[in-house]
Amino acid sequence: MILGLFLLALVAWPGVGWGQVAEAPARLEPVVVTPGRIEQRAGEAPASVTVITADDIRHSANVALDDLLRQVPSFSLFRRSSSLVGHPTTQGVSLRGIGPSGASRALVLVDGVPINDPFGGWVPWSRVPLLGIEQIEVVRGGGSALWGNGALGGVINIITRRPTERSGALEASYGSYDTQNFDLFAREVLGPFRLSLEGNYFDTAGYKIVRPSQRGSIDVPADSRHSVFNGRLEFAPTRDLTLFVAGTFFDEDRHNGTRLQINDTQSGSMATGATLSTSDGSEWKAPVFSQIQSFRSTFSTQAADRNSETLALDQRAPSSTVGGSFSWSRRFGDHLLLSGVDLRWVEGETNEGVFANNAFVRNRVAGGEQFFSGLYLQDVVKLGRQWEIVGSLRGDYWRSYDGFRRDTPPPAGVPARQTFSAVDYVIPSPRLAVLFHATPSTDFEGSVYQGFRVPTLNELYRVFRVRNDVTVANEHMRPERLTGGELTARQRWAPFDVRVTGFWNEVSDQILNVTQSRLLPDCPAGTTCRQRQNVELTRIRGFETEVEVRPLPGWRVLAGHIYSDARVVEAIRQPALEGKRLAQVPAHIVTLGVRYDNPTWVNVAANVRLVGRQFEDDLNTLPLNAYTLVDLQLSRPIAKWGEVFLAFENLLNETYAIARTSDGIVSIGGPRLVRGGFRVTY
Amino acid sequence: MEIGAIEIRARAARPVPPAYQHTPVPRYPADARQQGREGVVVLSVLVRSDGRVEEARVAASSGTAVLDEVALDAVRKWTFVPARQGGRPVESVVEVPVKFALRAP
Repeated sequence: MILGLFLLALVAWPGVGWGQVAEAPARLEPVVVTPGRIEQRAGEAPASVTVITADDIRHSANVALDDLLRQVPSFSLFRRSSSLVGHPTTQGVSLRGIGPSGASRALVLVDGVPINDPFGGWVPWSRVPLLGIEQIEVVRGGGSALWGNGALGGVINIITRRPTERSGALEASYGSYDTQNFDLFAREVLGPFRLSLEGNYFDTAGYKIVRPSQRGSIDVPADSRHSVFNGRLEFAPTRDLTLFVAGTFFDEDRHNGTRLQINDTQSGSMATGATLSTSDGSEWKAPVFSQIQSFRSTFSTQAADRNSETLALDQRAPSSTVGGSFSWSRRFGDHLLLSGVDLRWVEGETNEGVFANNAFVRNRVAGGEQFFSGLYLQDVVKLGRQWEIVGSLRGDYWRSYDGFRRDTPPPAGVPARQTFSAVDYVIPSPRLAVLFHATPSTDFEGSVYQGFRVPTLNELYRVFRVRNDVTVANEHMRPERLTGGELTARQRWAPFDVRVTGFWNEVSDQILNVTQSRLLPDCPAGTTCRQRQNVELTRIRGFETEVEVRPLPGWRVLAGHIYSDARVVEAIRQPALEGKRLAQVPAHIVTLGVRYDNPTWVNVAANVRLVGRQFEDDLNTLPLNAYTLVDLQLSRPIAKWGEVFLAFENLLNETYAIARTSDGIVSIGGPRLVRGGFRVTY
Repeated sequence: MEIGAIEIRARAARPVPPAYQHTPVPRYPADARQQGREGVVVLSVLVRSDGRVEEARVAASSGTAVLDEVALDAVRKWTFVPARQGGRPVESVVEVPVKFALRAP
């Protein structure tokens, strides 16, 4: 190689050969490559990826993972509220506004293991402490072709810090509303053994979530407290083989804004598996995981003046899940093949006491089991230097069985015991993507895909209530199917990096909470009654733009915008919904992040988020107004091992609505939260 | 520095080394990012008199093959202000360090 270059130089330009510059060649300034915000997965599978690194997390003002992720404009939860005060069942994630509800339309993975709640599909954000995260990738567009159920809007891939060396970190902060956060992370390497341990304790006294003008004596702050413990042990006897065992314990308690409304979650999960590289260049991965969880939540009926409330529902929802996967990947010349199998089983039920006027009315138990299996194959082909093509195909088998409901005593019109017949579906999810590197600084991408999501046990069987708005279950729902495509152009033009994507998704049988004109048996008198139903067709189309600028050393500006036109196109049984916007999806979200790093003086990171007007309900009668939030973090390193920081969330103390019930009660988002703290590393 | 000044005078006929012109930075390879791989790869680059890259090779590996490859792929697409000798652009060899760092410096 050296000789070749040498000869080439001599032959091609005999006038100025290698020999004449035989002294050490000039060395230019180093070029630094850090992970950018706007990423493609070159050589893996073209997709729109936004990356948040450990460094971004350290400089973020946010203490909750979901609030941090809101820096990505296409990320949203069912409601605008932070997981710090929101009900866990509202913490479902959607990307690009594809059907937000408590159930996620995107899959959240921690080191390859899905953490979406097995019973309800929402995401326990507080289960993932920030200090242990190495990186987060937000991948939009058609994740089902690899990940199957639930990944129809994409995948959020959280990668934790690997135990590669002896190190440790401690972060502690304290701030308004008695908010305290302690996060300890330690890693150790002993020969072939690598260990990481993390503990997190968080507590906040919270704030009153009802708008001040509407509060009564029953309103108390929505507090929350959680503890997480994560441990991971890896054993790497050779360079090519790693075995691991990991466990998480999670415990959370919350008040939901009135004395009688509480919820708590306890879960324990385990994962174990192996990664093996073989001499033919193959890589094999085989993780298995399991989780046991208990969830309890109470709901009350509240008087119009909010000076009295009575218990309406006391729910307990135990669930358990076991899953595993096996995957193989190998490069063959210009092809990178990936293939694998996933299996998962989920069991859960809701066991609830129904009350009216302080008197017990009935006990309702409903639940079932689900089994999923999927088989997938993907090929990434490089054609020359300019083209990359990805073809993926996945087939899933879903079976929902042993569904039941028992009411003691039953309400009028409902049998005391019901068993629901099993349903099963075979669902294909294909994806085709093409990446064209037009010039060294210009790329074009296009992809088409299909994805799906099956109704969760929660959607099939569990009733929920927000004040006097009741949403009842529906055991006859079908899977949602998404068909979509997108086109992306990306231009790098130092110091700018710009990416624009247009997307078009059509979802058939989308599950929406549909307002009912008459009360169903599960809706008590005096309530607004909604039921989860498959709606024939919804369409979510729009475009997203991301710009990253590094104008000067130490400065970085990120700007993002998404326009999402999310509407019901066809609803045969509910024609009033046709043309209406999907509940909880704003047409516009704009984000702006500015970072200035000057470790000798101060590091500044500011994030601004503008969220457009959206509707609380399917009929678009309950608007939630636009708002702007500003977050700011100031930090200053101390010696080599420490850092102090001051973090402001909602710096301008903007008051904004996060929910509006049909009786006109408005819940508000978090007021200004100021925290001061320090980080120590070794 | 004294010595440097003497050297420069003594070799007045040496070419003025090339400089960066259009150097789009490669993406951090996802695999390497996930595995926490970092490092500096030094590339030896033969820059033509029109500023384009004729050939590049790894002079010092980062220790991670995929980082070396990504750096090579990127550098081959770069353009330079060509080296000059007596005011005339000439081809030249230059060393380009590419540093992969997971955290901003």
